[in-house]
Amino acid sequence: MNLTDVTLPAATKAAMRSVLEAELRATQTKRTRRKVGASLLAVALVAAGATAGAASFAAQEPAKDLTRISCYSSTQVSADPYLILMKELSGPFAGVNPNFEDPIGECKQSWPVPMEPLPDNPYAVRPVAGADPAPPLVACVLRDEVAVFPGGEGTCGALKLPAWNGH
Amino acid sequence: MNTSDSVADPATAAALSFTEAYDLHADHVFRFAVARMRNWHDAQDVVAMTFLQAYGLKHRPEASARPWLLGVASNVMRNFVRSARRYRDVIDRIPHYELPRGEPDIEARLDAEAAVSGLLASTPGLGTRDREVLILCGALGYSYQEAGEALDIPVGTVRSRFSRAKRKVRDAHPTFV
Repeated sequence: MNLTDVTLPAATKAAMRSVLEAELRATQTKRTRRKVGASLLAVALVAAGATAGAASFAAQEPAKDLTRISCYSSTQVSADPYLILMKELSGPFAGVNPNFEDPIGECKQSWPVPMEPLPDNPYAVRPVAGADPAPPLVACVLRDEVAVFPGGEGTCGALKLPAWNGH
Repeated sequence: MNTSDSVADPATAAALSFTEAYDLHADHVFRFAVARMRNWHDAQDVVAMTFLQAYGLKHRPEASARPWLLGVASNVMRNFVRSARRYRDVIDRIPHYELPRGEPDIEARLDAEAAVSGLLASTPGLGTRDREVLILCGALGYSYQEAGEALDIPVGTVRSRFSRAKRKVRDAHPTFV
């Protein structure tokens, strides 16, 4: 057999395809939802006034059935998460769930190291010299997910989100 | 060498859906990764990370899909540890089937991997850039043009790197080339 005849094992190829499809679909859905959510947020704030809008977010109840952990690299609800960890409700990996006991730990270990493109190759990247490791993170509740942001004790309140209390 | 395999697929990265691109090109990325990583298990991770990175982009280029994906794979392999950490949660969900020894097909695959690994490992002075060109053009049969697109270098550079790499292999293994 030549190297040109080597292929991915069929079982691995099929399993990988379904995992990647699910992951990419989730990422795409998240992006779309974020854009819609940001638009609705702007409309709500304009309509109700900044004070009333802030009050309504402050009163938001923690979701009872959390389905995912979303990790953000900036303190903005409208940003794209750099990582989404979802509950696997069906399929071959049902029950393989993120650790809701430690969402900050889940996000911290995958904190994206800042990268920059190489000047002579747009496909290649390298870590930015002197880049910082993960900053302090804080977990809040955003609808049906635990949303982890850079920040500290007052960050969830500033975002008008309830803090994640681990339950 | 399968020469028909070296003809670039005309479909662009922007035009192909994930499923289309995966079905067409996952094996190509895997072969490149097997030869480059010298490890069957890591090569499977490289395939997953390559498609996650490529299809996680909001916009894909109007370039031929296969060389573009090979270029993404090349970068994933250069930053393998960092990429693996970034995509760890996804990779962990992909079953990596153990290769059962003793089956002729599996043994042949392992032999192919070992042959390339041994050749590259026992050739002194073969740098990463030369190695990639040697794998793409020599072992996998891609055209100079496609290798150049994948590595984002001019065709002339591919030619010179390929020639230099072959010379080094020939010097180290006089009976091979």
